[in-house]
Amino acid sequence: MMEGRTPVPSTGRRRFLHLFAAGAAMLMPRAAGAARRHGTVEWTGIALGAEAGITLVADDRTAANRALAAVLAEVERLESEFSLFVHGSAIDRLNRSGRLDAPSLDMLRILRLSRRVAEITGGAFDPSIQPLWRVVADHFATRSTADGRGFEFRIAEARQRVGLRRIGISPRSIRLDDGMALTFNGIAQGYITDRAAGILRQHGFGNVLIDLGEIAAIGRRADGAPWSVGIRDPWDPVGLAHRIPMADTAAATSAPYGLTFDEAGRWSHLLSPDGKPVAKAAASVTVIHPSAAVADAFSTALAVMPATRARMLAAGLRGIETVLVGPEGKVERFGNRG
Amino acid sequence: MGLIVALLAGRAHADTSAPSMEELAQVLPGADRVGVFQGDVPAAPAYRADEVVGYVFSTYDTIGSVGYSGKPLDVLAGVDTAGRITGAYLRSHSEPILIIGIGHDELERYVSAFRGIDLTARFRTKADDESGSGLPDAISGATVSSAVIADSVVRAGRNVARSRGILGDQGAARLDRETFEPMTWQALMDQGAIARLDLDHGAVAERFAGTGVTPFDVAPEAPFIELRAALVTPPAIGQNLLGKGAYNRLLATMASEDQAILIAANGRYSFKGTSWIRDGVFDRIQIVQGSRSIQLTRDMHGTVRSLGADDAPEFRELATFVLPASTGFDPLKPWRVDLMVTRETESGTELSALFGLEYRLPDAYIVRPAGAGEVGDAPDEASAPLWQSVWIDQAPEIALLVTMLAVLTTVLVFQDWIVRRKRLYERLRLGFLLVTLGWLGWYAGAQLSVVNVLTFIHALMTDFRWDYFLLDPLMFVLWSYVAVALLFWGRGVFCGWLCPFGALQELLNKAARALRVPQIKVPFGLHERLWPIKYIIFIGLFALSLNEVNHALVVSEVEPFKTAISLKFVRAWPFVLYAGLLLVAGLFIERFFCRYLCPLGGALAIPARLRMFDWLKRRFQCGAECAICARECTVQAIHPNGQINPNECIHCLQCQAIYADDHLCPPLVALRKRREKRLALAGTGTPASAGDE
Repeated sequence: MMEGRTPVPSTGRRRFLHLFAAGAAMLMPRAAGAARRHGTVEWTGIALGAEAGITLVADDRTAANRALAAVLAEVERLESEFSLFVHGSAIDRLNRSGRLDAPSLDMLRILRLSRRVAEITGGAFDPSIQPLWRVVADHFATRSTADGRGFEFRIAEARQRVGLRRIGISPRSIRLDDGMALTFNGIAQGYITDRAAGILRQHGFGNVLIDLGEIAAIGRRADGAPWSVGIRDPWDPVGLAHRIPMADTAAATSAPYGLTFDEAGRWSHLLSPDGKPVAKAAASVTVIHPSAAVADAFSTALAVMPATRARMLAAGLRGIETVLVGPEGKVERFGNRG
Repeated sequence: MGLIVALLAGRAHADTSAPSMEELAQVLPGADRVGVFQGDVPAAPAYRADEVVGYVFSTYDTIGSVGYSGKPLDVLAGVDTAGRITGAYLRSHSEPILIIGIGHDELERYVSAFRGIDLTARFRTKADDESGSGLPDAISGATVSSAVIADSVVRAGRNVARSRGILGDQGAARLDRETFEPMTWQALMDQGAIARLDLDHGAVAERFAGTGVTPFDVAPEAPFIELRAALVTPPAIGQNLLGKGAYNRLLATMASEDQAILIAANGRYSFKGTSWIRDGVFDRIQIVQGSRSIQLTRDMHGTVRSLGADDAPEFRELATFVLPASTGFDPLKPWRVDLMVTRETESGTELSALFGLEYRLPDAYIVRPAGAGEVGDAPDEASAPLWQSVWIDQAPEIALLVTMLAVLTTVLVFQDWIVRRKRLYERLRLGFLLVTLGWLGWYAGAQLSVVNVLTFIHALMTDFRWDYFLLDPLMFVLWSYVAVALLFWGRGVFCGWLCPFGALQELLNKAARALRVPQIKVPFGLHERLWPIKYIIFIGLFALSLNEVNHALVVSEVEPFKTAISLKFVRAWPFVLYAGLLLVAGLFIERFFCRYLCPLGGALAIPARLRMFDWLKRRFQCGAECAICARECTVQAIHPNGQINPNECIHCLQCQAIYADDHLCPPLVALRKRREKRLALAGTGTPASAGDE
């Protein structure tokens, strides 16, 4: 049950996308035009350990509630697949025993997608980074070993256990080598967002805004305008760096400096799979793509890559739009949507 | 205080946001934590030390509760695990009477009085609350809003309690594994016992749009897959679909708590794929139920060659799957089949999408033991709307009102005959006004108001629903009558006969005249120029209501109706002072408020221009030779030229009584005198024959 869980895991990413959905609902009665106006049903609550919201353009509140209940059940189901914080989840069992028999279609899909993004990004996105992450998290959580050499050594050791190519993936089972572990924290929110969109579509809701950490905008707002999503200024908690109109697409943001461990800001919750802290391309990376899972994975990859490589990759991605927000709020855009 | 702020801010709707700790303490005292709103019937579990002690629900989210204003009315309430209401709190509403008029304390007292009500008792409204469940007494002056609140809390509470197994008809339900009757494929489809997912190539291509997958080489309309799924454990589905032999063979492989489903498909895409032969696991479909994923394996799979139902179509692929009890599959709850479609991009990578087939077992296959669901559960409760029970409750009042309206109609239809009998007319009018004021206004609270007009216009502009207006039968009947009377005779029928405040003014003025209070005659030129004020007020109110209904409700306090009639002067002193001043003015200028200020009168006068009948009689001498009627008119609606202004006329028939009086109306007086003279001259003659000409 979702409500039984301690919210906000310490590694949870901060929310850098800000929604402009509420305005649509509040302005409705004044909008001129159609005689019979559509209503909006909004849900807010806790999902995936953080505040979440779903806005449906819907006339039938009962149907909307039924669809929302189905979405929440789906979120819960996928958490029990992908969440490291749910004891006994599929990924938890896989990490403990190194093997998962008869994985769900969702587990297969997220792994196949991960493998594809890992190939395209040259390994900058890699769910098998978990051993490395544990070393970094332990180091900064306990601060027990002040000596840098022990830390460096353990980083180097953990790097040996990273590599998605070494994972066996088949409908029969998922298999990990000794000491390997997975984390879907760079893609699961996006995947779950896509599934939520799919469930709502199945229930006949074609105009929906979903915010489950990553944002999916299907169709349009009740007034016919595209949904509007703002990218928060990384250094200003209330300011917005950029606004993006969105229709039938998804957006994901990663901020390398969202949660930093050391004063220099070299180590943060986003780790490069090679285990080296590098100068990042931007303070926040937003990727826009019809699939929130794809957007999520690429934003994670671009956020951990060295600045030059990240820009080159972003410029070369087809069908994917990237918005980099620099430390001074400078906005750079790459690629274009379809 | 938060409530008032929320009200004036005109909160458009309630969302299912988590209640604050203060709200929790109010609706479910003793709970220390509240979970997330979820479920088909949304409610949030509340905990004390990690044990569920009850559920918090919002009436608006659960049953879409709507107030008399036609706007959302949201009560946050709690129900404990024994089915008792633990507390309630009015979160938001737009009820005119509650915004201004009813004190905040009184409102709070009313709503919080729901604490302790036993939802398992059999009652629906206050009227059928014989079991003494203790529904609080309605707020006086706001009976409709009170009824809506009570109905919302009780109905939403029961829904929540039932869905959480508190009212006890959930756990007892079971799958019907005995009943068999022959049914065709088509009948099972229509019933929903077989669910479908039809995908054409276009729909699949759309899902992959913008991802660079290789386009299909067939027309978009060509079927991609036509998927059918059914739960086949109940014989009425399984035996009909599979045929008796195959059904029995399937059952023989199953343990007693296992379930079996059938999946069938036509089209280009195979739901089975090939991996199950190699890996033993189906990699294109999975069963999902709630938060459970069930992978289908070779062990579960059973081959079906053809279906037993005669009218079943031919299928390219058919399979049964036995879901062992260990999967946790519950046949009574909805489930779905996830179908994964994989496509290759031009660069050779594989992309996939999921499509879902939703299955919900029809109620016919669910056995609910006798007795379950009877606890406090009138069978029609879910379907019968609140307004019906309200009409039944108020049948005597409705009958009396209809009688009143029948009398009024008679007076209007036979007005010529009645006005000639002056004493009858005067008594009728006095009696009617007393009933209008005493019974209709003060007792029954049926005072029409400009607020009704604004609400009605708004309902027409947004979503019009009869049930909002049916909630108050007296107002509904009255408005219907007034609407028709408006088109027949003009607005005067309401203003002069059915408006309790109008009646109050007129009765007070009659008393004042009897006590020889001097009357002020407003010069016609000034009088005429004061008329527009009421229209301006109405148009202002209307304009304001377009922007913000609640503000218009505040300004509509120009009407003293609520103070003088609905609340019988039991109200804050500025309101009472205002109403009092208007009544005092009415002692000197009859119906002062009606003449110049009443926005409702203004609102009614506008459509009344369409009226069909002009039954108020005039003579050609009127105005030219005589102005008695103009002087006597209760609202000075008669122009100096003798013409009756229908926009102002209140149809009191005063002028008609004068018109028919051969001691007052000069032409009649002249006639009468001539006749008397003739009779006197004749010396004889039968006075009985001396009728009107």
